[in-house]
Amino acid sequence: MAFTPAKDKGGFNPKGGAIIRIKEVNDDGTDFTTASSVYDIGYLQETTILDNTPTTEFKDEAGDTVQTIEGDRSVTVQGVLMQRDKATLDIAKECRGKFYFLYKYNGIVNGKHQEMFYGCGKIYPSFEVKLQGGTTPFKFTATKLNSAISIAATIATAVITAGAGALETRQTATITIAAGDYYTIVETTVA
Amino acid sequence: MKILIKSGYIHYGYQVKDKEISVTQEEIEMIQSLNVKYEIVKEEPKYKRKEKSEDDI
Repeated sequence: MAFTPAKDKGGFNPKGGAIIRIKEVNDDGTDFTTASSVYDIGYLQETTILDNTPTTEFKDEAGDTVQTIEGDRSVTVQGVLMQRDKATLDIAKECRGKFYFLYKYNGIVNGKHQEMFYGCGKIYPSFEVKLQGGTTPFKFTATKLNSAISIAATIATAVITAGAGALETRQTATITIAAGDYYTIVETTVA
Repeated sequence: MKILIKSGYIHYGYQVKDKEISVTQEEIEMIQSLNVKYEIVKEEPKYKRKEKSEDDI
């Protein structure tokens, strides 16, 4: 895949989109026979989207690096949930042994809505609420897809518009994620 | 158009490997972009010409 980074002031935006939505799927990324609902996981204090592969440098006896080998790749979405109502805390109990499709909205960057679609992954079954404070961490680890996935426009729209405060129209076309990949980033010009 | 999906592919929520699916030209292009292997299935014509039998001759 070609990439085309370039200087562009519009590419700055320290703020996110404050939306994560999840939908239960099978372990291979297919939907359930009876499609499960889409859930918004609530207000987010902050999030971290991570695609990390550590590298190991191999040096010769002169101390020069002769090779750099990539380690294990890890693709996660982490965040801090601001809510601690029962429905939010129940995520830790309910997500055990289940797999989820995850949608992450990153706000507007360079005049475009930036959205991320993760085909399949697991939510860490835990919460840790400190009082005073009342927030709890959230972590999702994406899995590598064995099969390419296409998500119908109707489903993508349902994910995007689920929950309280339906948003203006963003990505409305079919979403695709290639086999061997974890997620796709979609940009849509703001209407 | 009908195509036979040869490699792993989840089409709108369903695993369709080794299955025939009906797709539009737009969807074919999408499937190509995902490097999914497929074969175009030759569809039987709706109306077959009746072959002449010995009685006809």
